[in-house]
Amino acid sequence: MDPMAITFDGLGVRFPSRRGDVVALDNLDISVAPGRIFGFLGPNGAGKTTAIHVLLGFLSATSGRASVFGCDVRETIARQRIGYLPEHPDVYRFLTGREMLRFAGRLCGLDGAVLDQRAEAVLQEVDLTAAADRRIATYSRGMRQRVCLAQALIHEPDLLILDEPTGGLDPIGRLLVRRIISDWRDHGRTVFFSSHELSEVELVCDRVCILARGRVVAQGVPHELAAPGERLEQFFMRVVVAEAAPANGGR
Amino acid sequence: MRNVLAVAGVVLRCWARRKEGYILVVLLAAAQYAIASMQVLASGGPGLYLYDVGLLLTWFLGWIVAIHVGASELPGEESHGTIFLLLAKPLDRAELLVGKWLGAWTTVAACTLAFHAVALASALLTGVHPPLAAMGQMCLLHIVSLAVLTAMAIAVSTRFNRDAAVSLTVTAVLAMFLIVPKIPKFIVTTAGWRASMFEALYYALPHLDLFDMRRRVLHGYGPISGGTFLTLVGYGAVWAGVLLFIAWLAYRRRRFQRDRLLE
Repeated sequence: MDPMAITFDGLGVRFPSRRGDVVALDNLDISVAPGRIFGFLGPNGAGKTTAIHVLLGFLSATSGRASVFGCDVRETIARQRIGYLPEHPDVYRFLTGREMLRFAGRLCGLDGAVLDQRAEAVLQEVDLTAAADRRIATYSRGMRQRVCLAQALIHEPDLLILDEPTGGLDPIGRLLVRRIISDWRDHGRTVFFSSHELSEVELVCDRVCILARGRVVAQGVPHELAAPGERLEQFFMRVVVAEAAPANGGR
Repeated sequence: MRNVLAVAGVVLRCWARRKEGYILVVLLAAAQYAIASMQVLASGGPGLYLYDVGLLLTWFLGWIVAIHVGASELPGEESHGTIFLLLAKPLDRAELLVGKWLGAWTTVAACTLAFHAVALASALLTGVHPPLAAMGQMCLLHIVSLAVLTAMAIAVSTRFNRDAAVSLTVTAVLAMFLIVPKIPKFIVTTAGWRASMFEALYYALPHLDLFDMRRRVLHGYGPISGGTFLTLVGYGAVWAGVLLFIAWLAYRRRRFQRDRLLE
C-alpha cells in the first residue's frame, strides 16, 4: 500500500528573535491520503506557507518530522514526486516560457523528445502556446502565474503543492486552475492546496485543515465540518475567531 | 551532472541576454582607441605601452566581471524569489552551487576572451606582435584565476547580500594580489612565532600573482613549460574546489523564508 502522500508528525517550527522564540508551527499532526485534494486554510500568519516550506526543504523543523510518500523531506529525492507552485510567480524573466519549462523539466530528470513533448503539453494545458517563445519579462502577472503552474506540472508529479494558486488570476484563469486541479485528482494524484478563497476550496477539496496561530483548529470533509446550512466561510470565521479569543482576552 | 549543466546553462543564457558584458567590451575598446589617439605614450614603442595598458585594463575588468557575476547569482535568486522554484526541484544544494559557479565562470571566461581580443587587436593595429604561445598561456591562466575569484565571490554570497559580497570579495582579492606576495619580506624581518605565522599565512592563502603572465608577454619571453602551466592550472582548480566546498558548508543547511529574504 502506498504510504500517505504527506505526513506532518508533531511538526514544530520556531524562529529565534530578540524577544524570545516565535512559534510558527506548534505540534502539527496532519496526514494527506494519496489521490485527494486537500485544502490548507488559515488566516494570514497562521503558518501555512511555513508548513509548505518545511515540506519542500526550504526550512528545517525545530521538532517532529515531515515526510512525502514515506520519504523524509530533507532528502532531495523526496522532491522528485512534488510539483510546487509558489504564492508569488517569480520566474526567470530573461528566459522564454518554453525555455523555463525545459529548464524545470531537465531538473526533474526529463530529456530529449519526452521533454519537448511534455513542454508542449503543459503549455497547451495552461493556454500559453502562443506566447511560449516570448520572454517572460513581457508576460502579464496572470501569464507568469500560469507558466509557474506549468513548470510545476512538467514532470507529472504525484503530489502537487499549490500555494495560493488563483491569486492574480482573472475568472478564466481561476477556472483553468480549478479544471487542472480536478483533472489531477481524476488521474489519482494528490493536490495540497493552500488558499484564502474559501468558496473555491469548498468547490474542489475532498478534505480541509484549518490552521490558526500555528495549530490545527479543525480538520475534515468540508460539508461535515460546517453545521447544517452553514457555509465553509462562516465555519472558518467561527473557529478562527474562537481560536484568537482566549489569546486576545488574556492580553 | 545533468542538473549542474542545466543550472549553468540558465546562468549563461541570462547573462548573455543582459547588457553589462557587452558594455564593458565596448568601453575597453573605446578606452584603447582614446589612449592610442591621444599620442601621449613614449615614442620608443607606443604600441607596446598601449598593449600594456590594455592588458592591465583586461586584467582588472576580468576581476570586476568575475566578482560581479559570482556575487550576484545566489543573492539574485533570493531577491527575485526564484530560489524557491529551484530548491523545490530534486536539485541538491551542492549541484546548485557548482552549476552557478560553472555558469558564472563560463560567462566570465567569454567576457575575458573578448577583452583580450580587443587588447590584442589594438596592439596588432599599432604594429606590436606579441608571442602567440605565451599570450595563449596568459589568457588561459587569467581565466583560471577568474575561476578562483568566481568561486570566492559565490562562497561569500552564501552568507551576505550582493553588495556586501562584492565589497568583501574585492577587499580579499586586493589583499591577496597586493599583500600576499609581500609576505616573504615580513618573514625575513621577524623571528620566532611571528615568522612562522607569516609563513603559514603565505602558504595558506591563494596566490593570484602566480597567474599573472603579462610581463612575460610584454617583454617577449617565450611560454612557460607545460609542467609549470599544468601545475598552475591544478593549483587554480584546487583553490576553486576548496572555495566551493566552503560555500557548500555555509549553504547546505541555510533556511529560506520568503518574507525574510525580501525584507
